[in-house]
Amino acid sequence: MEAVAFGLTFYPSGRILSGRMSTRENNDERLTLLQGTLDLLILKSLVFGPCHGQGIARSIQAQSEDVFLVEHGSLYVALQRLEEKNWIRAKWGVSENNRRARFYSLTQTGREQLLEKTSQWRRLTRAVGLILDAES
Amino acid sequence: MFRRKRSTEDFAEEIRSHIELEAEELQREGLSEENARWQARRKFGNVRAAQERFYLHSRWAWLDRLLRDLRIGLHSLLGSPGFTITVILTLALGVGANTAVFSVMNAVMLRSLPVADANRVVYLRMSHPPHGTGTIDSTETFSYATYDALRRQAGALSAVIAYVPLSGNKVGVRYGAEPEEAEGDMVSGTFFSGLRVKLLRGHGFTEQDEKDHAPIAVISYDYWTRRFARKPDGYDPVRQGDRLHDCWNCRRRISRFGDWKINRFLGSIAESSRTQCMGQSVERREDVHGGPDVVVSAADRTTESGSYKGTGRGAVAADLSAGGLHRHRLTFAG
Repeated sequence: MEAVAFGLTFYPSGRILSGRMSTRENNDERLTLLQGTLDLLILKSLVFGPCHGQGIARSIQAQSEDVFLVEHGSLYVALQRLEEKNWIRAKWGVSENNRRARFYSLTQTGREQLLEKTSQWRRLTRAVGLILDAES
Repeated sequence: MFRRKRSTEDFAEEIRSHIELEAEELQREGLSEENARWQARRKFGNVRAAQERFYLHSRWAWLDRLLRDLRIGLHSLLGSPGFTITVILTLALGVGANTAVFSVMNAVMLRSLPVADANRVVYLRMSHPPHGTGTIDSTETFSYATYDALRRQAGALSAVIAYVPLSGNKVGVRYGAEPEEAEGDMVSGTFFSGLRVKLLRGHGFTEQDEKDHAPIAVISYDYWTRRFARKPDGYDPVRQGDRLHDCWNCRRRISRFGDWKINRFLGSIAESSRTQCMGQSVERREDVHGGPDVVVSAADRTTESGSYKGTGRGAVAADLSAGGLHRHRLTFAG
């Protein structure tokens, strides 16, 4: 698996989410996750239709019940990477509140990758869960 | 494969749009405009860093794609070895042929001869000669009488030079006790003066040497280097070996030359163009001729009698007009 990506930081919930306005004092609480994870989350959030970067960031945050707080800037590294792999494609469009924005949507490859990565992720978490839950 | 790279401006605009969208949403959620803007910016994180990452990543991606393309190319070449071999051979032959042609062109046309006025040296050749007049063939060989007539004919050619290889291959030469082989030509007395070749040491032949059959040899620079290690002594005796040779001048068979005086000369000779020779059209021709190791003047008097059946070729160097010098290669008919 590819190494840890720069950029994406997750803030575990609890302390930080005394508001969305998490602060930088929580640096030590930052977790860097494997690169594939954010890719997977992005792909998933695009299943329901094209979305711009800000929308994706919001949707990941909301759907994780605010567990993941994506630093929005670092989202774009992943978007760029996915676009290069041709898993997603982007087009400038107009948002519902009439703002120009770059809309990302899944490609066919992206859809297939999403299925594959999801099952991979499931296997992984299951395996880790088995180990952690094992009565020793 | 070669998708247009996204510009950094485009990315900057996306960031702007992102922050505005976020600010609007925050405002809807109840923040003041100013605060919303500030928060949106803060949530985005370091804009510069994001732009830098974008830039670096697109650079890296370009290289990555290139490497991938190369890999795919190599794989598909390996996948069809027949095609690959054909292509490689075609290229190799093409490059090789071009190199070969260039080498010849370079030697013949671009590099001039190491003589005073190389582009005026021509090579004489007879066209439509009377039947049976040459010793080897009628067009390229000339009898001594023809050569003699040519050089007496003042005007067209400033110097006429003739030469005869001492043998088809190499001749025996002895310096001191040890016999050895060397390439050798017999040349007319005007050879060096006609070509205006400067000798490093000693002197070239004179017409008197030719008449006298003077026992003088001139060795090439290469031979001097190879055989004498460029020793500066100018007049080493060289002994012609035991092989029999024909004197092209008096047409008698020569055995055992005496001691030869050594002078030195440089270089190789070539020639061409078209001119009139004794009323007959003479063709000028390009030909590269590596210089012989040894050049001897006419011949020795100590000759045996015998009819000259001529296997020799001669060179005639001539000048088409005053001041310049062309070399012609003539052969003498018996």
